[in-house]
Amino acid sequence: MINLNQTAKNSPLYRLDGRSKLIGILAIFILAIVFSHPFYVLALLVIVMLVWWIARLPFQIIVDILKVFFVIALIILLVQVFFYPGKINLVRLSDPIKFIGFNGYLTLDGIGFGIAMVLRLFVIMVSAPLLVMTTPLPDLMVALVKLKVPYRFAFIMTTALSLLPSIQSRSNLIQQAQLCRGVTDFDSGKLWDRLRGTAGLLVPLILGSFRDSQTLDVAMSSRAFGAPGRRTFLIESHFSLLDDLVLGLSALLLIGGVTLRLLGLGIL
Amino acid sequence: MESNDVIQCARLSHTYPNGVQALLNIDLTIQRGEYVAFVGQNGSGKTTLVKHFNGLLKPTEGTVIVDGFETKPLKVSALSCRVGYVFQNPDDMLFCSSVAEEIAYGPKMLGQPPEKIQQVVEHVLAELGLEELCEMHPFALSLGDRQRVAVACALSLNPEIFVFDEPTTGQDYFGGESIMHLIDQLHAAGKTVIFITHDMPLVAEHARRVIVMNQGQIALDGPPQEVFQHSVLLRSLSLRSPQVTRLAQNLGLSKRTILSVKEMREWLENEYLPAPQAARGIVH
Repeated sequence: MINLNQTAKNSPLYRLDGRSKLIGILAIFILAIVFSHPFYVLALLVIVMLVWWIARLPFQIIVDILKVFFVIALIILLVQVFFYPGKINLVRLSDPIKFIGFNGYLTLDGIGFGIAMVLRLFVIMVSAPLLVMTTPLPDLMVALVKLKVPYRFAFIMTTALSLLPSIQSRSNLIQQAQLCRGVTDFDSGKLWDRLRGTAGLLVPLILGSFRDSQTLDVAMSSRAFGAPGRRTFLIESHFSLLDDLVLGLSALLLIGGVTLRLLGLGIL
Repeated sequence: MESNDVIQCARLSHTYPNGVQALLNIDLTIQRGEYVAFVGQNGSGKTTLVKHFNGLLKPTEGTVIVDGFETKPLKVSALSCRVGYVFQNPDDMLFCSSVAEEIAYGPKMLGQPPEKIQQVVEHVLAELGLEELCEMHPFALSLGDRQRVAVACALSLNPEIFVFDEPTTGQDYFGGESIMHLIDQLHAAGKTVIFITHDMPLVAEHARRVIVMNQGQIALDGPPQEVFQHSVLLRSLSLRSPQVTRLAQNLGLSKRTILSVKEMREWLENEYLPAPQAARGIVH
């Protein structure tokens, strides 16, 4: 399981201001959406991999992401391959099915778009740890607030991230409790048994999370959350030369990408 | 002939995937019908050790044999009929829409026939005095009753051994008493009972054997009278014997260890104050 709350203090990205990392990641996200040609998205993926290498984060995390992502990627690929209204027909599969937009052919642009969609999603998935794993959560919250994200939203976002390990450990505990009650396995066995096992996991997990959120609400209110007036911050963030460099590169990449797109490049 | 040893740990060590060594070379035997309390600081390895008894954790070195079966190749579900495990928080176990369904869940998972399941549910409801609550939603019950339902879930598989992880935590005095009374009944019925607690008076009052854990090893093992004599060692392990035991020790009242107020009173009446009856006579 990926622990996104483990901050990699030895990473060069750790020294960057949270704002520059947020802006850099945002630039990657925008470019991933802007391009729909698989080669362009692949180039973006290469850039992200290069940043991973510079960030010195363990590549095992990418393998873990791939394991989770594989089935989703396969579904996306199949849906796009069959339902993208392509023009270069390769193989005839059936008669056209108009109400779902399928022209009856396997198309080259359909395959290309499917691959681009999978790569796009993968770029977004592997970019997120570059921010989350190299930025302590309080720094991330300060960065969000300084970028004029409403404080409540920033708080919700960082709290959700900080709760991930406790939800994970609760989930493990509930799985153990259900195993003690005769559940044979959560990952194998008949589909019906697995569904029954999943109910035993999800109901206590969701109810427990609701209870925790109520407790958190009381704890926050009793510590002046939402008090009127302007709040102060313990952590102050400052831009360094390295931040300027990252911001400059991000801007260059973004402007270059958007210009290419406006020139009609990078799309199918 | 059936062996009397229900749990045997030989050179048991456990290291978690993050590298934390939680248990180190544990040799331990628990016999059928014993009533054992595990005590120790947080992180001393109590829960890690007892989770080996039903296969929730597997030894990284050494062996654990439960009722004649080595746990390593067995699934938890296979051991659930031999070892019932009741978690500290009953809410981690409960999810069905009625108490009766909760009790029926385990036998259903093990593929028992409907008639047998019905019998088990009725028997367990009667055994734990839960008949009136059988149609209620578990989450509508008090914490004490939810804990009883969790015990009922374990009992529905009719295990020989019961493991309770801090059974009285979060309960008020009477809730705790009620759960301990239930555990005493299981022990009286011949079951092997193992519980983890930080509550020393509870240990003194109920357990027949105390195992003190420290840094993944067994620091002390014996009857409460013997274990609570080691007050200096216990203190060094951030543990304290019950107040009445320390009072008797500090006053030098008795060479044997006093475990409860009742024992203290009996001892005072019988040995230290030789004429309590006469004193009472004057009052009357």
